[in-house]
Amino acid sequence: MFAMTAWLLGASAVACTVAALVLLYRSWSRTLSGSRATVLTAWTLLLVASACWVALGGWEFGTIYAITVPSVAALPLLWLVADRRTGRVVATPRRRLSKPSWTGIAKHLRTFLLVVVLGILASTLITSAVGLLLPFGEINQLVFIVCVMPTVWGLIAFWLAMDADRRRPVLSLVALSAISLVAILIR
Amino acid sequence: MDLTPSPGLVKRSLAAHGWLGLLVGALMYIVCLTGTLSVFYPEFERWEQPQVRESLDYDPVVLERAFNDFLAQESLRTEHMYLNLPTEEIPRASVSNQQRGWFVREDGSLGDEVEHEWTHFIINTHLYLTLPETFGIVLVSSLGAMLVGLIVSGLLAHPRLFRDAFHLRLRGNGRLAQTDIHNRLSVWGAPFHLLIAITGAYFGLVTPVLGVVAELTGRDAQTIVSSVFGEEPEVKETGEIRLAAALAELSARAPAANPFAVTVHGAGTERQFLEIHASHPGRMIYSENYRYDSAGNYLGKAGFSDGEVGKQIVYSMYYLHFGHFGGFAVKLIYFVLGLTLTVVSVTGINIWLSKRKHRDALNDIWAGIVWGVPVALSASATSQIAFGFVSPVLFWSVLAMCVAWSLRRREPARARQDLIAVWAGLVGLLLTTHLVRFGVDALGPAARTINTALLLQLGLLVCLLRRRRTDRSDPSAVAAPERQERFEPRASPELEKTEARA
Repeated sequence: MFAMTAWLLGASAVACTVAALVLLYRSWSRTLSGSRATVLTAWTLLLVASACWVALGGWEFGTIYAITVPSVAALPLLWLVADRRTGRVVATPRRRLSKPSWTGIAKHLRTFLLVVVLGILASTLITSAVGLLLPFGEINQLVFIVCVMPTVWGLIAFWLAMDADRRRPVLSLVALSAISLVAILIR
Repeated sequence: MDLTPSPGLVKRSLAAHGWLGLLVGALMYIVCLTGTLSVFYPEFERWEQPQVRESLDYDPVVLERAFNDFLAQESLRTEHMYLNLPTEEIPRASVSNQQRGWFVREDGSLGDEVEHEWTHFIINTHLYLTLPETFGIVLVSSLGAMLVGLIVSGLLAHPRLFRDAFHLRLRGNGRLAQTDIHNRLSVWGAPFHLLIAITGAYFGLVTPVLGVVAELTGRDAQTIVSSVFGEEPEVKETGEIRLAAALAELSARAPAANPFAVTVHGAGTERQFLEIHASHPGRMIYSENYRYDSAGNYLGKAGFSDGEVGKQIVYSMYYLHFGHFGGFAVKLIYFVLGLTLTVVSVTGINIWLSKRKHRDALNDIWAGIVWGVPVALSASATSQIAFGFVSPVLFWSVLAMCVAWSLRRREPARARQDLIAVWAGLVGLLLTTHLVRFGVDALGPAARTINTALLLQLGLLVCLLRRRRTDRSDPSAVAAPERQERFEPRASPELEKTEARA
């Protein structure tokens, strides 16, 4: 009986996911703005599929199934609808490998050092300050810090690599790090 | 409220995305590919030694005797000693110290030595890139953090990423196809990629970050680690391990728990106690660790199943990252999505190369790396099966030879064909060697999955080789001006413009 229920839940979840993706695709391919009702139905089906996954595997496994199954199910659909018309391809000319300029190397090295050194320091200090100030138990504070710090570092790396005016992120991060350090030391 | 990023932000995000991608692309590719293979590490372990007799029916008393005999050998004793119980995934029992292990036969005697060197090599490459462990794991985890930056910059750099979610133009292997493959796989795989990035970054950065927190708060780092992972219990009984009694007590205490491994801490000392690792159905935690003294008296548990939320999160990282829950279907999902991340890493660099509108040695080097890594992995697997030898030196040497060959060819498309041919040859050789060495065991349940996958891989490679060699297979080639799109209303002029500008 249990196996039958599990099978039904799994099959329903897969069916809802596939139907939702097909609806999303049809809405995408027909009009520029997409049919609102179709899109709404598709998202509702994805929610139903998520509920089925959670009922099948509990909320921990179910959430992962709900996140990953649509990603996998979309791949064959993408393959099926791909545009495979052969296009003329122009071969690109071959050149000798040009020597990088010292200014270019220095620029990239500077960005690299900022991303790695300043990025690690700032993300660790900011996350530690926020984590230690949160009204959590000690273990939860520590886990918050170790789990969130890499994400913050990644975002800082993006900011440092993106901003045209490098002084802005550098000064902001140095200031934030200093405030965080003070907050940690006086807590 | 208009949430569309401004053209300036899009342009700068694209530049940052490109910079971060180039910084980590090649290493990310190796880490992603080996990580994707690591999903099937239990299958690889069984495939490496298919001759080992498998059974789920072990008598706890027999296992207890085998473990105690093993613990009694002082020359083999290390601080931690392990007993792996047979599970559905790996129906083999084994005992090991911190260096070596042996399988346990059903009668309790020790069988073959555990030799999963290629599987360990794959896992070590994924975790440490074959570098010294302390540095390697931090480097690999840093790639996880950079991947977070790449995902965010990728989303901001492509405002039409979601609108063009079904827009896949596979015209040859030109830049348009590379861009579409990169963007489509990125957007569909984004939740999984983010999950892998965050959990992957955790493994290597947890120790240095906790060290910094300890310094900042003036606390002992070991105390902090113990507060998360549990402290050693006080032990009164030492001597021989009464494993059967402990397993029976666990069965009564937590009937739903599935014990899969036993660790003896402080083996042979007065601090000796055992920890039974048991998975809990429906839970993402790797295990709950039940502690017993040597006489089988219950001492307590670590609290990963019902302790503080933080503890539960920490102990869920492993399954979240490697997908070892929910059986073979989940492994397949992780494998497919892991491959998408691998392809995204490769196509990202391909796009950058093709934007330069010319070819040079960098194209050759990249083709050598992309097609050389699977060649080097196949060569190391063949070496392990044929000679019982695998080494990082072998892997990196083969990879260097592939890059050198590609540089010598001066034509990435042709180098690719050559390397695919070598790869196919090595897979064929690997299958033959496995069959010759293990005979009928190579067709048994322990090796069937991997050998079938290898056979499929060989078929796929032969198909790839049969495709006509044309310049179109070179990603640095520039696609000619587009003809009319199949779905006119969705012909995304902004996307075309952005791509044309790029």
